Amino acid sequence: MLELRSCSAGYEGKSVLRDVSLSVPAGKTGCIIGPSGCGKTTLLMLAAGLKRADAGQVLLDGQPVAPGDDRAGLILQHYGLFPWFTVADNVALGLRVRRVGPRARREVVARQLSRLGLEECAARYPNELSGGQQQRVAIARSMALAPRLLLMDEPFSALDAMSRESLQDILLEMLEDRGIIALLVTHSIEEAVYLGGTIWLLAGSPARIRACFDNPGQGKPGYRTEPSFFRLCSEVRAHMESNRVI
Amino acid sequence: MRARWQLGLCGLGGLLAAWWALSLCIPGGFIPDPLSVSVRFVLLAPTVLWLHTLASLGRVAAALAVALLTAVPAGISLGRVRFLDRLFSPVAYALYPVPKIALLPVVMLLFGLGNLSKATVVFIVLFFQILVSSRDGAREIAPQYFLSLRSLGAGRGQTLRFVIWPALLPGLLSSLRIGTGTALAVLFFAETFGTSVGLGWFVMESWMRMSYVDMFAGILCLGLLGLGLFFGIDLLQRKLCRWQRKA
Repeated sequence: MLELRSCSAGYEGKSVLRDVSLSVPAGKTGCIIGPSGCGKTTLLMLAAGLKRADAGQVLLDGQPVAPGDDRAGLILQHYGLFPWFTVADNVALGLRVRRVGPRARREVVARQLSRLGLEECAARYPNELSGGQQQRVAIARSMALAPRLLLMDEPFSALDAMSRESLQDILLEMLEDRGIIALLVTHSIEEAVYLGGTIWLLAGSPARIRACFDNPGQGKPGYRTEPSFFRLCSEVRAHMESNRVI
Repeated sequence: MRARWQLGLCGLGGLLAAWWALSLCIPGGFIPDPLSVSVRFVLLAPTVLWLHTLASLGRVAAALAVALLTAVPAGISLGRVRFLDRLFSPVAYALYPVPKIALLPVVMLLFGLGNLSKATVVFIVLFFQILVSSRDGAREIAPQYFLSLRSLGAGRGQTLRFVIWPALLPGLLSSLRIGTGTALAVLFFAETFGTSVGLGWFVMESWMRMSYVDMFAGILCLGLLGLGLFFGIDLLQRKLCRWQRKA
């Protein structure tokens, strides 16, 4: 379980997040939705242990998350791939950083690449790939480290509708398979409602949680076309409007 | 591919034609024609020129090696540590535009007339060029790369190896290409003092003897040396920066 308890954070005296509390149970996905620049990314940095909270606590399975914590995988908005490494080397990078030997590395990389249908891209460079392929590489790189927690910043916003939907399904399947906790940040209502078992609306300056939505239907096959899906989308939209987010 | 190759040959042919035309127009043999220069070059290459070329190449190579070993780490430090940048960048900026060849008398006073002083002048030229380009390169790396690597659990050494060094390489090689041209020019001048080996000395000595054919054979050799260095750097770039080629 991932827990944020009354977390506040900021940069150089400017408060960005104020009193944010949320929790995502094991094997579930949480989504943060909010306008651009509202502090969503800062929240991910807190959860990843890349930034310290000024107040409050971040706990993963009951243990505080500290800088250097290696239980979380973070996928940045533009995928954070390194242009100078091939796809295979990008996927292997986390393992290399952790000094996993070359043989074990090759095995893990091959497994991840085939899982995400990237075998043919192994020797190519990120700038030769489509956006969807790049996002797959980023997912493969995180998954290679077998994280307990996966954090994603605007994971699919730059993709076309077809790649987006198929990747969303691949992601959900992988998360469920391994019981990974996921926290996603997005500005797309449909994405939040399709992926998030719980959805939090983050807005304001400094940003606070304005609303929290339970999403019991999430994960059902064909959820994208069900009436309950559209109902929740409109409900989230209504809250965003009343909070003057849109 | 073949068309590109042929176009290149046409360009070189044009250069030769222009040279030939110039040698015909200017009387007095100040500019010998390409054919006699080439013949002279082939004659001199195995007897005299190789020695001078080797001497010049040795000086440039030594200067280049020392400059890379010192200026790259210094540039990265300036680019990544704000305190050092604020302290030393004004110094680097003040010294950068000073024509380094003006320092030759001082360098000769300090390091004597031999190879050391010549390599040192070339080193100073290359040092500042590499310093500035590594600093800018290191500073302009997008923060997302650092964040991305930190999230994978990397420390400082790994950041240097996996992010800073590869991000720096293309700019570094470009500045090396420019720097090598300047370095050869400076070397030429430095070699006109206190030595009797080196292409600079050979060209100037031929001029004193009024042997313009020899002089041009030396110039041709200098050109080929520069070309060789350029090709070397290009080869390195193709090997080390594969991702750029496919961009």
